Amino acid sequence: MDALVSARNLTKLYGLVIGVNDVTLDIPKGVHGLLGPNGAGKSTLMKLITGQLVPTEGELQVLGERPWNNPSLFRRIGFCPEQDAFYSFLSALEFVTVLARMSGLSWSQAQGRAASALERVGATEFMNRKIATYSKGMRQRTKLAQALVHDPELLILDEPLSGLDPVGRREMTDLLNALAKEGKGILVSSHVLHEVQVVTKEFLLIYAGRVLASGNVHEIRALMNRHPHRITLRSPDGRHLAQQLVRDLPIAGIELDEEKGSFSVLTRDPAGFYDGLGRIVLESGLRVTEMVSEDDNLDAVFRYLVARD
Amino acid sequence: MILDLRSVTKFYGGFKALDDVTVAVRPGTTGLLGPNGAGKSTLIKSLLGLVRLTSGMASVLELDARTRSREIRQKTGYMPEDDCYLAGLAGVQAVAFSGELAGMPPRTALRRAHEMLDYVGIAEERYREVQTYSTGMKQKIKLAQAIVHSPSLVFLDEPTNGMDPQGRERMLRLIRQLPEKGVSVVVSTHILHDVEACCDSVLILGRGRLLVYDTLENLRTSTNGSYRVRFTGSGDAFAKALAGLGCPSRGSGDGEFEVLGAAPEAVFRAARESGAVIRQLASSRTSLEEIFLKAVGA
Amino acid sequence: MPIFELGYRSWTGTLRPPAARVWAITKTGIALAFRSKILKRIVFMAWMPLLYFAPLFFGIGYVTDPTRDLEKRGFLVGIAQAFLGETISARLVTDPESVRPVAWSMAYHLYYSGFQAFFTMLVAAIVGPPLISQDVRTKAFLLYFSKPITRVEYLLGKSGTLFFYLFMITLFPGLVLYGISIALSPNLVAFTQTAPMIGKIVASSMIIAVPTTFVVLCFSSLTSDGRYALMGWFSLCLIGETTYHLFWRLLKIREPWVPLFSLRETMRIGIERVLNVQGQISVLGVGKDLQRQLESYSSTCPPELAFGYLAGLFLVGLIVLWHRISAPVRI
Repeated sequence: MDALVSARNLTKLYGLVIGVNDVTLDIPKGVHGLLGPNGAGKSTLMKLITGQLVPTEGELQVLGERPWNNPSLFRRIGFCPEQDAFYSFLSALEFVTVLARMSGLSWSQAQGRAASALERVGATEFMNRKIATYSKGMRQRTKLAQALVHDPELLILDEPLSGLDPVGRREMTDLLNALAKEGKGILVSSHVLHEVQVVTKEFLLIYAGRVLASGNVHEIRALMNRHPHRITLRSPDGRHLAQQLVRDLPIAGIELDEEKGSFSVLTRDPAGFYDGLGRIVLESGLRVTEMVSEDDNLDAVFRYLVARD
Repeated sequence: MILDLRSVTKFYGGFKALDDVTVAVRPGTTGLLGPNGAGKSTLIKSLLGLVRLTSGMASVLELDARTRSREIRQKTGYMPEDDCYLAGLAGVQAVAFSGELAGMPPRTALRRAHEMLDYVGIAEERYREVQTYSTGMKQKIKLAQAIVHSPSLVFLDEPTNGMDPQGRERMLRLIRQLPEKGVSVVVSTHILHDVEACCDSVLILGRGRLLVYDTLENLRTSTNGSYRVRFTGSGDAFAKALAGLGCPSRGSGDGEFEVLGAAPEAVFRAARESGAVIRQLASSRTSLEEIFLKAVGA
Repeated sequence: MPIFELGYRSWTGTLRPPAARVWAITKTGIALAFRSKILKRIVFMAWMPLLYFAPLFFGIGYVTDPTRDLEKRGFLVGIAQAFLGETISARLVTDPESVRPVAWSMAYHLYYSGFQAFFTMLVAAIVGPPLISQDVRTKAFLLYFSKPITRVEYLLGKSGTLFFYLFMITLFPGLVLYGISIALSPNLVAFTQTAPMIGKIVASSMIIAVPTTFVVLCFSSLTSDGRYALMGWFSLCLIGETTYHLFWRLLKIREPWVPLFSLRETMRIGIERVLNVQGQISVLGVGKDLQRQLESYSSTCPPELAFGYLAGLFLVGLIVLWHRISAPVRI
């Protein structure tokens, strides 16, 4: 039971339409981001994991058990879907209590735990009003609360931050970090990449129903040497420094931007470049006032992997 | 000035949605931010003439919002946040219809609809009915119908909602191009990253009040001599080396330090001493997130 | 030649007046509704009664033509005589000019209240319910009202769609029928004599179309699901009709307000008043069948009450409609 999710040749077909296509993966414990363009198979994968769909072919194990037709497994999983699915005539407290009961908590426990789950997501202020009156952010918090209330081992969150204002987003990322520290397994799917990066560095990229890449973003980037890294430097000794770098360091290309007073280098060996740069700066006395790589992040990795050539 | 508000106040019964807001917004791209319930949508609604203000004066493109609402809507475009579409129409028909509603002659509207669809990036799908579109395409259609009648100002409400990273980037690029062509933009969104990517000014509302209006440039002032450094290697050794050179440092994330009062050489020197490798070096500037949280007093 | 870039470019040009915007809404609605196969079939069927009425008018014209040889009574004359009854048919031969107006009025009365009222119910049921309810469901009103149109223009545009289809089965066939009958008449006297008929055809069509349009649009604006609006309309028509017959035939309760249950009957009373069939028959003197005919056109409900009721439906529908589309636009 080492991995959170374990799939072998997992395929899901909806009639003619393919959801996931022969996927084999292992998601170890911890927090992971699940990324991919719309229609890539993320929601299909999440529905398979949460037992809402049965695989057409292949094997799927979640926390060591098969999720399909296995209600007892659901006590250990919490799911926060992207769409709203509420009984709007209930209040958040009533709603989460009901769901807590369905997840196996006893009557005496359910309401208390519901209240504390709602407190954790910052919904105490409005939890007694009817859900029909809620704004988008309030609904989002209610959804998160019902995913947490039964203290599951694994959380599956689909766009958990949508609808939240920046304050709320900060609060939720803090909450996710806290949950991660508690040792919960978390699978977060989001399009807002830089937010997911705050919570985790481990990712799973899905595209066209297949797994495109998985692992740490830097490792993935390092492996992608078909696309040289782009590093932008700003220096008062612009051209001189550029010349020196081209001469001594593993550089594949260079672009000068006189207007901005900066230049960008392309390199297939970023590690070698950074190593050497420090040396050159100190030995030559040439100055560097800014060095930024827009490239060594998730957006870039995503873009390169998904781009068709 | 594209927007001129003077003591704008709006009550919904006993609830104060807008509280004595006074601001003059310059042309360009302005991000409209605020916590939920801060009054952003009320503000947009009242500028479009869909809601009457309790008191105060508001003018859009020098037109009074109270009396010349129709002309305002002629010269402005609106891209709603909600999932909305004209059922049964093909993409190009829907956009052309929007143009006709704005008074364009039918053939001109159709011609221009095609042009707008080229701009937002919808190819053959434009001949399919809009309810069959994916989220990203629906967003693009909403943008196309907002600009088809060539407005001078567009209001975009959560324009990247539900779009995947590629679509988001494309949308932001489209938004960035508009001011160059003389179209001012007001983007209302919760995603600060988007605002940083495409806006030059920011307007922050909180509890109906104006909290901040300024250019991003001014707001994100460099904290003098402070650098944000990302590195690989031993954090403790690096910190010690920095301290040894008289540069106090503070961890601000993993593999990341904030070094105060230093020159870059010192940073590189300390790195060499401690065996760390610098991967990123930039002046410390307040992020929009910090500005926002400070403004709303979180 | 300089290079023109492909990015966004602005447009300036003359704008069309508000009427063009109303027409844009109307024509889009017409095109959308036309996709329905059922609608096409029903509109087609709605023109079928002309297969009876055109020969009828032809027959009337044949009988009133002094140059025709009445020995050659054919099928057509038979239709006309069967429709008009003994007395009037006889009169038609001896003194055609005096009888032609009443003959035509009777024919149009049957056409509108007997046939087209029924088709109206069906056409309104197909075209009407989605007109506004769909805009509510797909939140299209956000797109409409952020454009420079007013609520009045929106309403005119939407009602225009329904009016178009209703006129397609009331006004247009009525005018076509009139044209045919004039063409088949022996001389132009027919035209000068019956020219007011055009006005009456228009009025009858309005009596049918106006309350129907505003009641159906009202239902459509009350819901986001067109099917509820459809149910509302059918209930009003069918339950009303059943109640009317229950009271009138079974229970023999014939107070003036009883006919108001049936929308069709109420419209009939209004149309009858416009065409003035009773008035025209009564001046023809006495005759056994005349008495019977008079009764068939009469009703205990005075025309003023009928008109008042229809006007009331129109007003209530309009007020509710207006209120619904003025509801705060939730952005």
